Amino acid sequence: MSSIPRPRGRYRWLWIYLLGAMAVSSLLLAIGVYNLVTLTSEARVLKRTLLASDGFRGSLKVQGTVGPILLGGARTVLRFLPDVPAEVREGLAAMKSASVGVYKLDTLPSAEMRNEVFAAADAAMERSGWVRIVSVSERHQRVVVYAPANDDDSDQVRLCVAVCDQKQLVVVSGRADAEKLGEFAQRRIPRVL
Amino acid sequence: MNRFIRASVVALSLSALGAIGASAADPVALVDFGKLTPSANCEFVEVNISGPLLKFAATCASKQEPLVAEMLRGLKHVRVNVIGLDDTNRAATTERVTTIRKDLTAQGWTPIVTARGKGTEDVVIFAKMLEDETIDGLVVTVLEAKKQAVLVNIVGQIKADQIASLAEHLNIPELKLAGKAANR
Repeated sequence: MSSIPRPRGRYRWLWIYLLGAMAVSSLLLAIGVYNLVTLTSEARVLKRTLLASDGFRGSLKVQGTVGPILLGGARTVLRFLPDVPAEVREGLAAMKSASVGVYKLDTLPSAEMRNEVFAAADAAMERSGWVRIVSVSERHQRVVVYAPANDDDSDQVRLCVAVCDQKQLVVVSGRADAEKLGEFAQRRIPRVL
Repeated sequence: MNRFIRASVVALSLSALGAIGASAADPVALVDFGKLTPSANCEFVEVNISGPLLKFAATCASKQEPLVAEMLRGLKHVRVNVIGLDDTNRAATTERVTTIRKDLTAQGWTPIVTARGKGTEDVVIFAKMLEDETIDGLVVTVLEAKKQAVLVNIVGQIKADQIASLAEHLNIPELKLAGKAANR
């Protein structure tokens, strides 16, 4: 019966380093993958609260988060694609991170149910330090936008948005460069009202 | 659906372009419109912004529109409500707007514009004047052709000659009337 020779001296340490590096890389990869397929904390609070009610249950269609590294990669790739609209390039240039979740509701919620659920979401978001700044509703649609209640960083803008359209629910949260987003908004978004 | 998208874009652009909020709203010029009654079948828009987005708004506007940026820096809070009207909420909303107007008058707000068209539009704009005749806040109340009501509360120091510019920037035509009135 042959035995496996044990590494000796400095080779043993080399193996330990290699195994340690592999473990750390795997851990980082796992964290990266986890972040990629989950939502940011504020989007998670919003999603959980909205989907918590019996009349507002739904199933996941897609969700994920892209951070600065992936967005930087996307920007680099877009440089080599000539047909991409300028709005996309500018919008992407302003974004620092984005988190998106799309869910299909089991049933079409009534107006009362939507009001109840979004009121609960307001309270939950407020407990997390976010306040509702915009709400637009009409028939079976609603758009709600939240912003941090206290955010002294004027270099970046953070928003969390929920859109409920018929039986589809979309939750988005994003962090953007304030100056670039401002320039983008001024150029691309029509004046109000 | 198009109207809904338009309203959403309007609301989002309002937050993004920042007609836009305050960290500590002035309690004197900040008006509580009370409980508004949305209709299940009509549009209902609420914009209520305060906080660091004010800085963002001013920063956005500073390069291309420095005058607007200066004006935005003076604003502390903006609240906008657009209430679509139908038979289910028309009476209650009209009564609420009437009550708001009475309350504002009782609280010392000055009605600087009163415009009633040929039965289609009913606009009253109030200003909160300080002792030095500067404006500390504006409230625009509109009942339009019995189809929608619009309530706007802008809090912050506004110079009379800035109102027209503010109206232009926010594209609130009724506010242009206030600009003309204030400049007289």
